Amino acid sequence: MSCPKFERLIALSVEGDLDARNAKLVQEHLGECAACRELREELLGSQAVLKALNEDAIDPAVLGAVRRRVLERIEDTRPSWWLAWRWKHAVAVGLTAVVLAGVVLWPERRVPPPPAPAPMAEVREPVAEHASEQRGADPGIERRPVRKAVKHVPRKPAPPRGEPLVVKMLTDDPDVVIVWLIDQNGD
Amino acid sequence: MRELALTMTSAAEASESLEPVTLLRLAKAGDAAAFEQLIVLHERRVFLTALRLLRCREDAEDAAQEVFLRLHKHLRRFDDTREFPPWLYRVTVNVCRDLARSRQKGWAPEVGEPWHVEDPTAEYERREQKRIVEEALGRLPEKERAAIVLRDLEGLPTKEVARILGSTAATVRSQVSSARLKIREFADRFRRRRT
Repeated sequence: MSCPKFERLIALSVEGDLDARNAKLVQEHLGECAACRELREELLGSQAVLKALNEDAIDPAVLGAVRRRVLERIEDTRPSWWLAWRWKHAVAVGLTAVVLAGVVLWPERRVPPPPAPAPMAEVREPVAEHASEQRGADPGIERRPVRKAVKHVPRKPAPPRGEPLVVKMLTDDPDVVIVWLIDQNGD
Repeated sequence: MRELALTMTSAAEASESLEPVTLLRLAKAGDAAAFEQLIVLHERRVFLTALRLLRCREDAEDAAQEVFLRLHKHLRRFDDTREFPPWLYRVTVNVCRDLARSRQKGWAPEVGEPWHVEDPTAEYERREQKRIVEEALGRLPEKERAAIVLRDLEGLPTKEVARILGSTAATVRSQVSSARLKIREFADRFRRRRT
């Protein structure tokens, strides 16, 4: 009958699972106890048979079948290449169709026609009084002062609403330009 | 003009020569051939461990299949800095535990009849001893069986076993010593019945 106190330690010592202190303790006890020596021999025997279980041949076909089932299951859960291809290319074709439709349906760029030239604005400056005398006007008739024609200034297209209208008046004196800024309210 | 020779190999053949770490990284990136090679590298170990834990070949096949499916599902999240085999062992143990519970089989084998010596040849003796030890292994409590399978059959260090089982080294040592004594006692009882 082996010693209960040493049974667990001997069971660990057969596979080298003891620390140095306990290994020495067991070694010393084995030197004195025949029953524990017999227990150790039986444990070595059963451990050798246990490890021999790993030598059991496994049919490679069994492993191959397991591997095949795993790969098939993975493939089943993955979208088919065809579906994946179709999805990606459907998006690409759709985008291309939208772009082509934009090009085909609107072949001409609708550029807004230039605004019609605005009527010329004539701004005349009152001329000197002697001008009417030079023309030999009837002194008895009150005449309107004749304004001297100045350069025709083509009117610029009206600014968009919200922006003030700029009116420039040129005079005989090239250094003098009269500018009006008219806002939305007409001021 | 210089000639350039090209050797074409299949993706599976190309991945066979890769280091396990590289194989793992490729499999993580979605390389199907690399994942298949990963299975080839570990399938025997996973199957044998499952067989020892479940004591049934059909269950072991189902368990091994489930292990690799879980591997595929969680591989992308696996941390490269960790060691792969211990993680795989942990998955195997968990799958076997779940399978055993779902089938309400428990981890104990059916009670075996004492063997009769019909042909006392050495080979027969050896096979019978293996059968007895296998049966003893199947009779162990779940935790002791897992500990001794990983420690003595898979050869993992005690600390590694503790990590896989979510236990401590001291607990694993206690479980392993208890399991070894029980196997030896079971084998001794059968041997004495013969004589």
